[in-house]
Amino acid sequence: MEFFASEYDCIVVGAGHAGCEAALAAARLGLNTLMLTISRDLIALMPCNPSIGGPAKGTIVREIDALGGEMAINADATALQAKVLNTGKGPAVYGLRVQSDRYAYQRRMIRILDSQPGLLVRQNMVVALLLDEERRLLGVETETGLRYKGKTVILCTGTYLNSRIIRGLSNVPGSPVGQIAAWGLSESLAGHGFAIRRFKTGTPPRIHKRSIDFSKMALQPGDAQPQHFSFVVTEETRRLLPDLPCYLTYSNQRTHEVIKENLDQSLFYTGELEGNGPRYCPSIENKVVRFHDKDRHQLFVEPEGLDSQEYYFQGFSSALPEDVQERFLQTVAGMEKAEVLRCGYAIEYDAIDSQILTHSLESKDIAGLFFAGQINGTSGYEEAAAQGLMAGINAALKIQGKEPFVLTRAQAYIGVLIDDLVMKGITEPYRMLTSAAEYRLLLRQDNADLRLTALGYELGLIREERYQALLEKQHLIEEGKKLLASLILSPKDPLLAALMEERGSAMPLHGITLLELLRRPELSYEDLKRFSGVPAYPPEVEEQIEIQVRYQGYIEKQEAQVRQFNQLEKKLLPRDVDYESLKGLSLEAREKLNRLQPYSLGQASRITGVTPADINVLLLFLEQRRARKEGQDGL
Amino acid sequence: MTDFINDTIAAIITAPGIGAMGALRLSGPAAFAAAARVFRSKSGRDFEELGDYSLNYGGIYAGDSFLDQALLLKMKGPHSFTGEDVAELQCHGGPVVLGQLIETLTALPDLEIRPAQPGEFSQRAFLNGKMDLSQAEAVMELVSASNQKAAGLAAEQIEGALSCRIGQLKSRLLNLLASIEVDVDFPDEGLGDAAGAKSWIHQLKQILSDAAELLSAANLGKIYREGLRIVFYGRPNAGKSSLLNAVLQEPRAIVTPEPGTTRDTLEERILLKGIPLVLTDTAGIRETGSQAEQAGVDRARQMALKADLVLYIVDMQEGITAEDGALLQELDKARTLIVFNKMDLIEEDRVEAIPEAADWQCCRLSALDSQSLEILAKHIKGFFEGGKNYRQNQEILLNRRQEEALLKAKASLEAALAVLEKGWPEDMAAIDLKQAWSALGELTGETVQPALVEEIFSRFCLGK
Ligand SMILES: Cc1cc2nc3c(=O)[nH]c(=O)nc-3n(C[C@H](O)[C@H](O)[C@H](O)COP(=O)(O)OP(=O)(O)OC[C@H]3O[C@@H](n4cnc5c(N)ncnc54)[C@H](O)[C@@H]3O)c2cc1C
Ligand SMILES: Nc1nc2c(ncn2[C@@H]2O[C@H](COP(=O)(O)OP(=O)(O)O)[C@@H](O)[C@H]2O)c(=O)[nH]1
Ligand SMILES: [Mg+2]
Repeated sequence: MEFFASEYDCIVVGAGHAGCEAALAAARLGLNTLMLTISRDLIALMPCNPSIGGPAKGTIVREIDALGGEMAINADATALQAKVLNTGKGPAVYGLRVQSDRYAYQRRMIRILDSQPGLLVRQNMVVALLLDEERRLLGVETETGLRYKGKTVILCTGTYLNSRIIRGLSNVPGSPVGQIAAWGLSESLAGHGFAIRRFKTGTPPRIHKRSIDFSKMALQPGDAQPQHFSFVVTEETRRLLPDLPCYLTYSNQRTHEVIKENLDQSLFYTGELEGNGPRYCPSIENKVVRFHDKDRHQLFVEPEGLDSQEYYFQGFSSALPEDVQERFLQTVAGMEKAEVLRCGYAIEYDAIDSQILTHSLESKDIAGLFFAGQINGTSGYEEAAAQGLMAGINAALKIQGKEPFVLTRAQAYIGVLIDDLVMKGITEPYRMLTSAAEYRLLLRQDNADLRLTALGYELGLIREERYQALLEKQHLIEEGKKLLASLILSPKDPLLAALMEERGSAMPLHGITLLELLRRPELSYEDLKRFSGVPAYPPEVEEQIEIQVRYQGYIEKQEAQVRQFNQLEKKLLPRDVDYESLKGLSLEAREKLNRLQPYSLGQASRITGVTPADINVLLLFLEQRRARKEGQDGL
Repeated sequence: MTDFINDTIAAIITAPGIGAMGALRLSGPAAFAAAARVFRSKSGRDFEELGDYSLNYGGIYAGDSFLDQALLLKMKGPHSFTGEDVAELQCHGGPVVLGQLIETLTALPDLEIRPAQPGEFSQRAFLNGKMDLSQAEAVMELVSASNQKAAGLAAEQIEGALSCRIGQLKSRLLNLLASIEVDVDFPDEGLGDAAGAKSWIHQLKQILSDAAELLSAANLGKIYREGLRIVFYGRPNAGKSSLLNAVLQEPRAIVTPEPGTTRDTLEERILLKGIPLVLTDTAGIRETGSQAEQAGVDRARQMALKADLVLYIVDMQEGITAEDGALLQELDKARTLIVFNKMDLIEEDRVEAIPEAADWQCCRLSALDSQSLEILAKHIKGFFEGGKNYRQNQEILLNRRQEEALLKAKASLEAALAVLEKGWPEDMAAIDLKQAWSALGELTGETVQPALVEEIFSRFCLGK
């Protein structure tokens, strides 16, 4: 046997957002955990936007919180401003977004990691994955030649594998914020038979505060009553940092002209490079080309930190040469004298094909090897953190010999995200969108705790008192709804008439329950408190009652859809069958089904290339088998 | 890894009864091996030597005892009806012989042949890619189509005319949905439709009117499938039954000079100039003392209100009476043709003087005259093609399931419109729009419906 420095239950490679959650979950669930990362200075780095959340992403952050992850609290504790986007468009698509002080964010996360019992965070680059002759997982090897044995290994290498920085016509090895790229590990993975693909993303320039003329931009303050991601607000997260506003400005025709004139100075437009970039987060040059009929684009200017003079320029990601960036930047209102502190760039990196994974993010091929975050082809801090958490949990369950923890598409955005990754497969960086969730009205950010806290508690990541608080909250919501249904107002009630008048609401003709009254969009729970017998509850309880009552009809529609969805989900496919023998399936379906061996018909239906006609064939097959079984049992 | 289908099934495929011939089909990997045990070729050749696609004469045996003379049809998969090896045995014997044969086959100790479930041969054809679901559904429609046009429409459906029209509707719906989703998912990009709800409402109204048009086209298709309902209506003795007989060209209804002869409604189907008709003769409308006759009168009235076309027959000897006027009041002008009957009894010089009922569609004929059929046919065809919803070759044929799906889609679209018009959150409209989308998918087979697959095949019978 070769020499190993030491042995761990779990080795996490990479201390980005995925790695941090993975390591914390594993250690909190009792695994003796080692985290290896290229630089301890870059733990939980936000290489792009200094903000967390938004539609869908914000919901993910709350789901992470309900399952006992760290991201929500970390963002709350370091928030410079908080804002709910999309209000008025429906509660399913509200998105809390927090601007965090990115330096404070890192500092706090480092503190949490270092103070976590059972976790050691060590600086070292991993250059190889070690397997034995039978392709069983052994551990990892570092740049310095150390070999660590790991019962489980979670790879969270983000955008660092063989990464290259592209700016204008220059294309050199490197990683975000001027560090080295991770070498060796990609080749090691490829050597073990993993297919490696190349993705890209980009970031905008950062500007010196003193050179920005904010008077020419629109002020974007945070919400007056900022919300928190975490369902638990502590002294630490209550509001420590002072509010720092963001600003809004626009590109213009001149900006677009300068960009168009210089497209020949981008490797992506000369045709030399093609790395798949995120369609939903395009560079400014892509936007100018793709939406050529738009004469301006929205741009946000965001603070990077309380002590920092750097401002992030959202919407302005670019891979054009530094001098060109500076020139078109200075055509923007308020940016005429802009001093660039860091130039924008594109980055290319290696990722794996997420379809080789199971729903617990484990390799189908090598037991104990997990993948999480951008290495799986996603983009975004929240998406990474969610996967890290799930991989960490599943590594622990694996070692404890328990069933994997998998969330369905009807339970959580995290379920949608992972199911998309392993079943649909992706061809470009994947960002979580509300439109990816079929049942988003059920997967709201406001009810993430109601959906998931009990699961987090069962896993052992949520403490008793928090679970008890959840039960109490559930109880109050039900009690409140029952109460409202039992209180009937007469149309002659003067209080009612006054309220209707105030809110411009139609006077009811007959007696009406308070529950029915609350269905009216113009009325709130607060309004009902003037009637006798209506108690004041904690705000989060009143909010729940309001949402559940007001959208009941639509919530029921979605619940019916979920029942339909479950029909296919519950039809389990036989294990280890040769789909090749089912000639009614299309060629592509046969190949993919054989490769992915989905668990249920529902999963099969989401594989790209498996058509409804294919599903019908499988359905009939299952039906036939069932009928035959029943026939046999009957005999 | 194991194969999906690895057993062999057998069933009698001819209708039960004392037919001249009976046939039994075996399908599956052991079909040939099983057939070899019971069939001996007259030529004395071994089973394996018989051609892969061949018809062979010989006898069938249970063990060593001879059962009957038989023909063996041997078809090697995948070029067979089910896509598997298929052996069919045809013999003279009725149920007794075939029953014995099935018993023998399923009792073969080493082969495990089992009786097929109803529809299982078709299911295997489907599983082996010999037939797809829409074909299976269309095949059933074809079997039950009552006339050429309906069969033509069913055939067209197999070619995808319906999916094409639904596809157009779906793509407009998708545009609208995308616009809402972009607004929801990218609040920072300013990519959403600046006009917002106003523009969505406009688009949605357009889509709704498309859906309504599709539904009326479907109504037309329905006429082809179910027939144009024509009701013969009018006072007693006007000549309703005589005219029906003239159209049928056979004396189907009893005709007497006695008023009140037809007591109940009588229904007949024919194809007239390619248009399928359901003709209903009714009791004459009048106040009556007889209870039985009164019931018939009430039914007649109801039939007339539900009809696609009412032929209101007037006895020209009497002219349009006050009673006729009252009855006509209840009818819809657009769906009524007044037939002035018994023209043969009107003298030449009086013919011109007959009052035309203002802005009603009319024709004159004599039920007893051989030309009456031609005159009436011309008018019926004219009515059908001049109809509000009629457009040549625009009709589509929907079965009940499809029509329901389209109605469901329309209801969801209407709900979405209400949400937007009331200024409710757009996400609620998105839920309705997605429901409409999925209902349209049911029409084209893009939405998977577990129940449908099971149902389609359960409607096939044993041996199919
Ligand atoms: C330039 C740029 C622009 C981006 N733009 C956007 C955007 O616009 N929108 C968006 O949503 N997201 C964007 N992102 C993505 C976002 O930063 C990532 O999705 C997120 O950080 C991924 O988290 P992660 O944990 O998977 O990886 P990362 O945060 O990349 O962390 C990877 C960690 O692994 C360590 N590591 C890597 N390899 C090794 C190794 N071999 N050995 C030891 N340690 C290793 C690294 O040091 C690092 O700590 C951008 C990222 C970059 C770099
Ligand atoms: N001469 C003549 N007699 C007719 C004509 N149509 C019907 N009759 C006669 O009118 C009588 C009543 O006809 P019938 O069809 O039973 O009328 P119904 O009560 O409306 O069904 C019968 O004696 C028919 O022969 C017609 O066009 N010309
Ligand atoms: Mg009659």
